[in-house]
Amino acid sequence: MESVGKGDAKKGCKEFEKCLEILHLMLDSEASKDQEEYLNEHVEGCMTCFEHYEVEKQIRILLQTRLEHKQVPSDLASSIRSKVFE
Amino acid sequence: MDTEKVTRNKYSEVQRVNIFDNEFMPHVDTMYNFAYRLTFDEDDSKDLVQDTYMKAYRFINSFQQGTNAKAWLYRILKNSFINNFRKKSKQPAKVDYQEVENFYNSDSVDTSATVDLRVETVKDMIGDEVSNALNSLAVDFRTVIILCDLEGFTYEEMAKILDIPIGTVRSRLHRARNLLKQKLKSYASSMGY
Repeated sequence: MESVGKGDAKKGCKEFEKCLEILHLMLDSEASKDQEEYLNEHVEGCMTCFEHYEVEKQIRILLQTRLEHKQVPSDLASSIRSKVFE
Repeated sequence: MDTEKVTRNKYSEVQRVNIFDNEFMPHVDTMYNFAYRLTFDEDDSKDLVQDTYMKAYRFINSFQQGTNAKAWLYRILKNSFINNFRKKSKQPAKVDYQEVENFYNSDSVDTSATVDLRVETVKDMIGDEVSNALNSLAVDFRTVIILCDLEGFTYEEMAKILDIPIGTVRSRLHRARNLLKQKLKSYASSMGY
């Protein structure tokens, strides 16, 4: 396993693992209200987690905007219909 | 999962066509893209999507009208993919279970959550780097990222699509994201960011 930056990013946050878990839940819209409140308050005083939140958010944006969208073959829909209803 | 408990409907011919055209067909585009991200091959993707729709029609009586057709179709496609590729290659070549197992059993994965990547670096990345990073992940990891980040399925929907408990969805996603971040980091490093 790669160990690049291992431990480095934890500096400055004593509850990094917990924060990271909530951070992901929040970005996935799966966090509870309490968890959201906790993290929103926490990042105001914790640069480490604030940065992590931004990076994770950016990675999601990257995935959503930069990946190539494959053009569906124009005959696929009609060939599906003809196969199913033949 | 609980197919035995699923209520069977008796749709008329007209209803079946209606469901098929109005609830299933609108997802052809996204299904094709999902298939392509699993197979990396246009012909395989077409076959996979066709196969999925034929199965969906055959089992249409177990589909509840007005429920989540998209999730149901994804589930069928994912299962077809696993079955077809096992048959085709006689070995799970594209599904590197050993790799997956190693990651599942490795404690070091969690510490890699601390991979240090800067926002600016991520913002500068181009499509090729992103897709290479995503495509290099084992199929199980790639799948959860596609379902969650690209398709926006909830954890609960993902659990149904993949036939795994929600806890497994969460841990698999967690590991997948760490791995993706590592890949992105190494691209960034090789580019001198």
